[in-house]
Amino acid sequence: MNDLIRFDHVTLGYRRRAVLRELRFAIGAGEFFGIVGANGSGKTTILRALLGILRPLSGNVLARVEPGESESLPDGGWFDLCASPGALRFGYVPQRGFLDDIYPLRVFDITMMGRYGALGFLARPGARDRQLVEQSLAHVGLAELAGRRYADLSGGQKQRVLIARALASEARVLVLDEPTDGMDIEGRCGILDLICRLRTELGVTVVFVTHHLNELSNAAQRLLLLHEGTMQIGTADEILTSAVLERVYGVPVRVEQFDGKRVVLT
Amino acid sequence: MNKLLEMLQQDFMLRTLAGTGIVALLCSYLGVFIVLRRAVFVGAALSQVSSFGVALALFLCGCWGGAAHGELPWLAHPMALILTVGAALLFAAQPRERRLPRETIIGVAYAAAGALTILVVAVSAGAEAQVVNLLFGNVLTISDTGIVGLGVLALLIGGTHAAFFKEFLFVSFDPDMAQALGLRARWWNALLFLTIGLTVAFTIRVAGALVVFSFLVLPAATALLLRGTMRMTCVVAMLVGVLSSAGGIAVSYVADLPSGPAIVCVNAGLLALAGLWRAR
Ligand SMILES: Nc1ncnc2c1ncn2[C@@H]1O[C@H](COP(=O)(O)OP(=O)(O)OP(=O)(O)O)[C@@H](O)[C@H]1O
Ligand SMILES: [Mg+2]
Repeated sequence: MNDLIRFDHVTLGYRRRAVLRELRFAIGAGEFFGIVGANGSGKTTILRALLGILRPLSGNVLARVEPGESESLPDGGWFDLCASPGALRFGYVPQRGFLDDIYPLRVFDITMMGRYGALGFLARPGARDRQLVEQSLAHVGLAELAGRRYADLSGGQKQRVLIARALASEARVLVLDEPTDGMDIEGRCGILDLICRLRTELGVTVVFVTHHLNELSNAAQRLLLLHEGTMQIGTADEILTSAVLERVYGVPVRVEQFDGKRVVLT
Repeated sequence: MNKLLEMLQQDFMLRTLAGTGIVALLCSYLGVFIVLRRAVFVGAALSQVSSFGVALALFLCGCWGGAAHGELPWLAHPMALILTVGAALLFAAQPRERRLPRETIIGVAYAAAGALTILVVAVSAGAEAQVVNLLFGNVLTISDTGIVGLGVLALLIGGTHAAFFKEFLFVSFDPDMAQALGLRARWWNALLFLTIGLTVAFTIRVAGALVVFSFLVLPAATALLLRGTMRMTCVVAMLVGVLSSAGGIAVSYVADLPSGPAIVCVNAGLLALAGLWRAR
């Protein structure tokens, strides 16, 4: 697997106070990459650095585009994400409750925002943009709700709209911040299945953040585990063992198999 | 009715209608962004800063012994403009690691500018009437050049927003996603607030702080109650603004009342109607 994004000795924090130190890992092209950690462990902070929104206190977050994909960037070379925003197309699904409901926006309008980066200013959405938006809404099963007001949707439906918006941007990387937070079992499985399906169908890279280890224990190929300033990274097989988890969390942990699926028990 | 016809035959009333109409269009439109961003006190704080600019100019010119009594010194408008635009840009900044919420910064600016205005006025002779005049404005004294100036401003602001509406909406609604898609959210925000600052600085001279503030809040609130799309909300807000400015001026002419407060009351009346319609 080719690496798409690389954290190179990155220290992240706010106002010179470091939250995470010396991060060193890579995310592969087309990979399902999970980030798991407790509240306040720095999951959203990592995503912000990934999106080029938060400048690292030190180190670089680098990315690579395919040869020929961008005119302004070196073919196959690494470039700094903060310095060239938008060069690698990210689809960001923010943490729940992050967007304000008072905006009089319809589902269609919000999904169309995914096109704004590619449109450039002064341009208006054209037929292809509308088609992409409709396709993306169909992908997440919201085609009939395109004309509804975003504020009137349920939490799970809102989450789907934001995923559709990310798809509409023709994102190479889907970045999801606790997309299933506060959803019922059905909604959770629905979203997770949707993401897995999109990854196989469209070949997008997925970076999925959650604070439930079990949610990703079967979907993610690799996991980044954050716990009180320390981090563990590895394939799902390496990380999801009672030895590693007990060392990280300091409580007895058992990892069981049911029907070929991993379950973490504490 | 006769009195209304009579009103339309008077030059100064036509100028007033045109002037407040433009102010209403601009402020009601920008008000949609201001209300959606939950920053309605931007309007109040900017008008306070603007009057501080005038007071400061009066004081400085008084020190140099330049100003004739009863006339605004040349420095007044540039000073008010610079301070207002500067404050608007300050309110636009939203560093990720903000120590104080934006509302607080706006509140501090409001209180500080208000207090400083009073202090500066207290030490400059004859400044009080000028500042009071500025705060309450007088739509009845607008000149032809004033109308032309407002027209130019409207073209400038209208053109900017026609070109960049989607960027302004995007960075207001979801700055993080906007940035992830390569938009420089900080600059778009600054440009949006620059248009707000310019508009407040210029329209306050015509309509006064109270009327401008009410146009920045009430028509947008009325339009949002009607729950249309984003574009419809903007159009409805502008219609409501123009309607209440014309209605307010007519009421004030017929009943011989001050025009500014009449405009605000018509505005509030329309908001109440929309609220009733919503609640039915
Ligand atoms: N804007 C900010 N300014 C200062 N400190 C911040 C800011 N945002 C987050 N932090 C700090 O950074 C640390 C990590 O926060 P972050 O939001 O990344 O956590 P998280 O893992 O996403 O948590 P959650 O599960 O609650 O979303 C926390 O200790 C928090 O206090
Ligand atoms: Mg978070």
